[in-house]
Amino acid sequence: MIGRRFFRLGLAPVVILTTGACFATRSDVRILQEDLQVVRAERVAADSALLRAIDAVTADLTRVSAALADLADTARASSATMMRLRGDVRSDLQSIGQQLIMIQELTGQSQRRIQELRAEMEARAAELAVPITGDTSRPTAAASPGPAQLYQMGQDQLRRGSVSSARAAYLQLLTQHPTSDLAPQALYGVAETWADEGNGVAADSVYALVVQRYPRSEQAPNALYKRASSFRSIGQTEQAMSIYRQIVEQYPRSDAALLAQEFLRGRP
Amino acid sequence: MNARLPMLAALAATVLVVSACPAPTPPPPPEPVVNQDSIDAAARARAEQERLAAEAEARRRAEAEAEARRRAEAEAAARRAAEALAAARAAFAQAIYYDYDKSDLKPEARATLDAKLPLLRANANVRIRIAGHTDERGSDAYNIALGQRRAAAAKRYLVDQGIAADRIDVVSFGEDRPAAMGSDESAWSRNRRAEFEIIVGGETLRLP
Amino acid sequence: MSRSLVRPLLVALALLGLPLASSLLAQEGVRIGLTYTAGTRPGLYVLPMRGAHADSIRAILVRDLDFGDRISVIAPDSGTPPTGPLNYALYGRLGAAAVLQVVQQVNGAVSITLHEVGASRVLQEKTYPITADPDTPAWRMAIHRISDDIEEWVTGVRGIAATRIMFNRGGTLWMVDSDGANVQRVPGVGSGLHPAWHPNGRIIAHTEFADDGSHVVVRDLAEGTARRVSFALGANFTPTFSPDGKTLVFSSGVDGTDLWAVRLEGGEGPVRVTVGRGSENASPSYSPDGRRIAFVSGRLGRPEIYITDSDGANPQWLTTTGFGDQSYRSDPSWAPDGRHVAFQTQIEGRFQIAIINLRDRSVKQLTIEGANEQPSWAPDARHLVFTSNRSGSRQLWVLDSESGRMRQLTHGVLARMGAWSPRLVVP
Repeated sequence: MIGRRFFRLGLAPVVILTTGACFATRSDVRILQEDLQVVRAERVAADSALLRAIDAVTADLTRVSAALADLADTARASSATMMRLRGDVRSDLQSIGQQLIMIQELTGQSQRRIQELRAEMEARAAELAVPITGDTSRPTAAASPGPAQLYQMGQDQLRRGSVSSARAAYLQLLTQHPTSDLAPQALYGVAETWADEGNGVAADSVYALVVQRYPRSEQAPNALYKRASSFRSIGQTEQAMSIYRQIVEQYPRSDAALLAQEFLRGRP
Repeated sequence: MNARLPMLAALAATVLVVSACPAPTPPPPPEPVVNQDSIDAAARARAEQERLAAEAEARRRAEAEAEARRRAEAEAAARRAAEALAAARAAFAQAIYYDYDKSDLKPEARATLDAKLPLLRANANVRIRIAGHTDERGSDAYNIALGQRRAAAAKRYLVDQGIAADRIDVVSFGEDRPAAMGSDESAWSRNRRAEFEIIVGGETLRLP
Repeated sequence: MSRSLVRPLLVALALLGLPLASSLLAQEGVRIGLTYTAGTRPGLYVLPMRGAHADSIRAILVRDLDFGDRISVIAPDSGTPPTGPLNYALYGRLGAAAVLQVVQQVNGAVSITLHEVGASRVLQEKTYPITADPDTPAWRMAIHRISDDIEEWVTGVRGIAATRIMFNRGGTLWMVDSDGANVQRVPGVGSGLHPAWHPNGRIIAHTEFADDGSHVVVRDLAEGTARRVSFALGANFTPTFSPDGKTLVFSSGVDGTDLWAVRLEGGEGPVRVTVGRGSENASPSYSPDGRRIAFVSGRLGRPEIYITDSDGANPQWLTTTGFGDQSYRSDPSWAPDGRHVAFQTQIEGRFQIAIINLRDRSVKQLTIEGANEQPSWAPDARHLVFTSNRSGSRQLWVLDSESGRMRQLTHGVLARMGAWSPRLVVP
């Protein structure tokens, strides 16, 4: 329909032009005029339909954008909630972390306390073992101090500055109780006594021995840290840094690793 | 002078008539007397001038009144805004309180911190300072560390809620700046606190 | 007590028949320290003296020697100086192991003669040229140094009279001489807390409150210069110098505080000393050999005293007294002889001063009355200055850790955070 009318419409001027006014009859003109009117009316109709469609689409768009805005609000609200939850979770995690650290510390301290108690028990046992009657056949063996007692003795002597008696206590522990779980700490203590005396070379070799003999002990990262400190103090920075890196790699969770990281900061 | 009075009266009458006329007043019919004609014209001109002056005066007065009204309104609005700002600032300064030897945030403290968030979010340029304090018990020195941890806990909470960390300074005064004097629990509980202060952007605060 | 004195005094009257004896009788009871076990402290008889400022000089000497707690001072407060050779037997019967003769010369110099009664001879003779104007702080300090010499000659241990105590009052720092005289503000200090002395006695460090947090300041008292050594914003407080004076250690942090060491002559940057992992770590105090540091840490929840190697390795809880025993212990001060660490510990809700013996970790509580805090050792490793509220307000007190004797050092406006200086060689 529309195709034919358009064809006719398109034809009309051509006909007019080609046939000329002389050939055009009145009826032809009228038909053309009618056709034009029809076309115009149809165009108006089409236009208004288009407008309506556009209106509809616009309305739809408005609805959609309103819905989107709603959605965005909801999203914002839920992201705020998320943020809050995340914050809460993070602070909860932080306090859990704090508690974990505290528990670790407490465990360590309890172990130390147990050591001290063991030392006391050993001391008491030794006292009890001292013969009450005249029997003095084996007094020395009975009165011999246990490993915990020896270690405590070493620690106390070290802290008050009696370096050689501290070393004697540690060495006695190492020779009499070589398989004791205090052996790594005693060996570390021996190194400490050399360091306190200012004998850096001796100290360093004993610290190295701690790492070599007891690489899985608590004292190993500390001994490494000590070695690095002494390298640093005599200006051998590169050597010190490589030990710091070793601590961070091999004992990442130790305190020594955190201390070492301070020296590595800003270095490759 | 006196001879002019009737003329002025006539003139006034004319003015009255003229002003009484509806807007597009047709010009009054010319007077038959030629001499009178020019006098009237002058009078009319003068009347017109005076009318204009009066109108200008009225307009000016009206404008002045409007201006005064506007100014009063603006002042009132400014006052209201200032009051609202002061209230917002006071609400923002609301301290939070802690338990003895503790730095974790109690639910009331979290609620107080939440109430500060809208202002911080609406004013991205604002920087604040959180000051941690302790009661007088405990070691003076250790209390500085404790006050610091209290302030830091408050900051951590705000940062977790999306406030940029670099907008928040934290300081500690330990037990050295008590809010309440006295050596009983009521004073102590008011002294175990973190205080909030706007240090940048406080003058141009926008309300959320 | 008086009866025990009367007999020797009568003997003295009979032997001398001098106005000195009557003045002695009138002054029975001036012998200080009779309440302590006889025989532990040598008696020192301080003769009357002449000179323009004789009374001041003698009063300062007598008080210093008394405050030293190692000498029993016998000092009649008037009379004329004896002429001719001393009657050693008489002073021996009065309980004196030594006799002190003091003469102020016309030029202001002070001459000391110390007689040993048992050997009936002169033990020491020395003249001190004193250039400072009489009764000025510098002059008093010069007299205090004479006291310290005398104490060293008599007991073998140098005294602590020529020292000062720095403290916090009204938000800033003050100083007082060891005998409580000469209270003055430390010049140039605005906000000042936690004072600490450099081993040379000329430099101090302290905490300074500012709007942006607290800072650590090192101040040269002689030159009047000061600089901030804290390297980060946050809490920076409780500084202490290493015994060699080259390093300053203090607490620093924003969320949790750790100890950091700063080299005062430059070189490498700040070095971390503690791994607190977010806990409080503060109040460092060096062992005299500089190899270890005592400090307070809240890593177990409540503040306790720890000892760490000064490079940060091997921290250990010092004040263990039993399972589940978590008190509130803080403010450690390592004695200059290395044998004890003093600290404050909470007992029945109040702080008390205690010392822990590092040999066997035995703890001795030194105070009971009132609340007592912030101990700081004198250079003799025997006396402590601390803060007590026993007089009604917080004031500084001095305590002899061996005899338990106490004296109030400051009066008036509240005073706290006492820091005892090393022996001072400068005025």
